Amino acid sequence: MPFFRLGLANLPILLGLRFLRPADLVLLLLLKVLGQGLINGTLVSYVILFSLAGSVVSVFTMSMVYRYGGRHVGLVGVSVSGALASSLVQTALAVIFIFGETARIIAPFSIGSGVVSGLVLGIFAEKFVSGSIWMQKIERRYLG
Amino acid sequence: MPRLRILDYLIIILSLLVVTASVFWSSSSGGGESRAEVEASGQIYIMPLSRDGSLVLKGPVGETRVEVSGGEVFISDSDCRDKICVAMGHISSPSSWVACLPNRVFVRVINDNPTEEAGVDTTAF
Repeated sequence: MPFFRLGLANLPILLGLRFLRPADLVLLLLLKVLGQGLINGTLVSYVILFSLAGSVVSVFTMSMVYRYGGRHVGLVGVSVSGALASSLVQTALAVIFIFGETARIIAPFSIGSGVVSGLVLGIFAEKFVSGSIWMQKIERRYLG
Repeated sequence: MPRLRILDYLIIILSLLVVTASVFWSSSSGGGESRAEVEASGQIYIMPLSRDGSLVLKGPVGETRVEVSGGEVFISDSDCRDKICVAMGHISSPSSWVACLPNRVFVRVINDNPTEEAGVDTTAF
């Protein structure tokens, strides 16, 4: 089911939020959507539009939260808000355009699983960033 | 567990609230025309919940009055001894019912929307 996929692909975006330029972030987003479309075999179907919509909203939300949250937010909060935004948008699109009323029934599950995977991903990302030398090297090379 | 900051917690709480809200949203009856199906003495009567009205049914112990008002259906009065049917109150959600057993009057709410037709009686996770 397209709506239950793990948000694992959000990891590069999450890590990149710290230092990537907006244009590069968008590129990463598109790569992610295209990549998932290819792997899942959904590239040429309406599902890709769902994925695109969810990812765009997600990246936008995460950037906003990251920028304006400042000191008070960590990657966990950023990741969860991105997951939440994405799940909500995709559920809304599903109800309006595809499944109609029937889609409402799975809403709690798809939103819930999105939030959970966002949480897990955020925790992983937070720990990774604080402890990773590899991460610091990449940042330095990119910025320098 | 990494150190979580205040906004992290707030965002997590917010998403839990949203998920909880979505549970209620998903289980509400969306759209479609609700109607009350009244069965008495082998006869079936249909009353749309969108139009206020009342119906008097005759049964073994006397008369039972079924009323529709404000999108809900209820038994407003009955000749039975205990009047449990009246105390059952107002109903409006699909598959709910009230009945006057002594007088053999049975009232049920039916809804035609797709959520009902999908036949979700239980979910396994």
